[in-house]
Amino acid sequence: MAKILVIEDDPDMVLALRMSLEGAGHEVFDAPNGKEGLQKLAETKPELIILDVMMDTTTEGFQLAFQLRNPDPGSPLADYSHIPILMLTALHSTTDLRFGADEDYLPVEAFLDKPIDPDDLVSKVDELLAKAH
Amino acid sequence: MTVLLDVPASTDLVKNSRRLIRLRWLAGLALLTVTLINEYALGVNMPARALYSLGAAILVYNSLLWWVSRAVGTSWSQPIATGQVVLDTLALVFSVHLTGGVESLATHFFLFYVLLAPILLPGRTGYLYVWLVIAAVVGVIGLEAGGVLPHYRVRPSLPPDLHRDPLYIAAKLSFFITVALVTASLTIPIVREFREREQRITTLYQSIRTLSSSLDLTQVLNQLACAVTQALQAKGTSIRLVDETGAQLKIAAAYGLSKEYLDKGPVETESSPIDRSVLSGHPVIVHDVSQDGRFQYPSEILAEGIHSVLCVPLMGRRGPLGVLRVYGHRPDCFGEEETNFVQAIARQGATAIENALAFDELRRTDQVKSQFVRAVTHELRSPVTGAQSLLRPMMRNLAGDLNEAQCEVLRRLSDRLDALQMLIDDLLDLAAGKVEGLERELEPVSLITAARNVVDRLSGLAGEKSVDLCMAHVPRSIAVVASEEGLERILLNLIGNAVKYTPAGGRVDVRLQRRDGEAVIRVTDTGIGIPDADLPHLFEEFFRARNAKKAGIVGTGLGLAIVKNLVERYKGRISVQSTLDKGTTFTIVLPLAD
Repeated sequence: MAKILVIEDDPDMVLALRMSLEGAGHEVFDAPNGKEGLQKLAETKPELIILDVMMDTTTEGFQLAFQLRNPDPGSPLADYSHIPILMLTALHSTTDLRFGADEDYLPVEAFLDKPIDPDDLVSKVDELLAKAH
Repeated sequence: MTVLLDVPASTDLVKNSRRLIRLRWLAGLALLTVTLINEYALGVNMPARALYSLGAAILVYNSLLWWVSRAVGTSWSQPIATGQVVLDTLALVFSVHLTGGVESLATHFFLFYVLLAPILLPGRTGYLYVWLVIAAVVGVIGLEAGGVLPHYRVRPSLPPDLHRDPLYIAAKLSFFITVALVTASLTIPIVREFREREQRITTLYQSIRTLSSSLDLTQVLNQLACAVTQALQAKGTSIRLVDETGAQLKIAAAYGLSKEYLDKGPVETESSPIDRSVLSGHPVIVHDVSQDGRFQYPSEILAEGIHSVLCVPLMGRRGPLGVLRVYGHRPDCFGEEETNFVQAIARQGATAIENALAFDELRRTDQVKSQFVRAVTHELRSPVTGAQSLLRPMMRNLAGDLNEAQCEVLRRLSDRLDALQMLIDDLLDLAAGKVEGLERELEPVSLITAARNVVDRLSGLAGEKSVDLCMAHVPRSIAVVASEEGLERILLNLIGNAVKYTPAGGRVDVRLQRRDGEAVIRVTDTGIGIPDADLPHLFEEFFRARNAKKAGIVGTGLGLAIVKNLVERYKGRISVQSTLDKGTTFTIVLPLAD
């Protein structure tokens, strides 16, 4: 039973995530873009963030993850830099981008590829929440 | 701008040098023989010892020349030729003196040399040589007449003081001088024109080779401008191409012209009657710039030092591409011959330009295509994965409990969506693979690393199915020329298929080795095999063998088409062997990256 913030612009994907996560007993909040996501972050103080890699622009997810992990000193974001991040990816192997949780470049804890399988999602979430404690 | 024309030492120089050396053996021997005959058989009174020495000397320096010309390279051929002329001239002077001076018949041999000199000597030294020969002959005759040099009376039938007779001397000399000068004034221009023509043909040939060797338009045109300028020994050349509007000619390449001149301004075809005429296919020669009113920028032209211009069209298959202009230092530099030559080069230039433009177009189209493919990738996948993501939780009753009928419908929906997603992925793979070639540079890639990555990825699936997946390779490293992703895609499709079509308890072997300068990949499985009748169609797009469909194994029929496309791109070959219900072996051969 944890508070999870989902930052995702596709409402169908939000519904799918909500169904799986609420079914596992978690409390789900959502925001459709980075800006509102950061606002919700301060309001709800979640224990886990689920972030889509691509939203309005191809790099919005990346930029947000980077911001969260490397906040400007003194900014309110600094309080949240410890929250684990799960990134949703929609990659095809023919694109140039390859992902791995790289400390410096892309500081997220884990990836999950779309389409989302409910069991995979729940177990990954549990794993990350357990590690955080 | 580097000098691109490396005109080799004229081959006729080397050949003629050699010919002369061979002739000289005869000349030396002849001198000795004639002296012998004259001394013993005919009893003629001549300075036999001196003549023998001369004959021997000729043979000696000829041996030296023969040996040197064999030992050194072609860069010495001009000094050797000049050396021969100098030595022979000295020998001739001596022989004239020793055989009677003004009475000697040997003076005729000088004419042979007046003919040879323009061929053996460089540039304009032919004329200089003639005057030297005349001076030498006059010198010998004069010194003998004045008593400074002894006179050898070789022909006793002639009066004893003939060599002092002014009338006789004058007659002999004027005849000799006239013949020498006339001969020289005929041969020297002929040889020079010959040389120029040869130089032009060489330039033409080299230009053709250069033009067809590169698709980089700017480079090709600059080399062309340089080659034309050097071949015609002109001041410079400019190449202007018609722009998209067709109303202006823009500089594309130039050689030998100053920046100020090139920047003077665009050439409007409207206001340039010369260019209009040229663009309709007719070359134009301007013999004297200062007297021609057709130029758009007359003062700039004269300030640049240009006095005559040859303009030639660059005609493409669908119309004029531009104008090639050659500029001369002096008026009347260009005539019909020059025009024909430049037109021949311009024709090659036009072809090269069209090829380069077509290639650019192709590259641009390909870029557009691959950008399209990438955009479509995202657009097509997103609704499908969204739909799948919604269905899955629903099928777990997370949106409320479902009855059996509802479950069944959702299951079928989910299967159709999975199939659609696989199809999209494969189609886009195929499309991206076909575009990959021009866009992605191929480089050496480690086959063993790629195979290991793929085997790792598939080990989970193989484990679930209880299929043994093994990889073996003999040499420690095998590198092929490919792209990393393409190579992994090939292996993923092949090994993935092997695992997919092999029932539980079966085995998939991946073997990598080097053989005869090629890399060999062999994927063997103990799966359901492929019917013989289906083997020829295996690599066709959307083809699935009948037993695969019957076994209920899901597939798009594109996997092998993608593999074949990539293998061919990497200049390799693929083949398959199979026995129904026993197993299948795919073999791929790729050239090594060495």
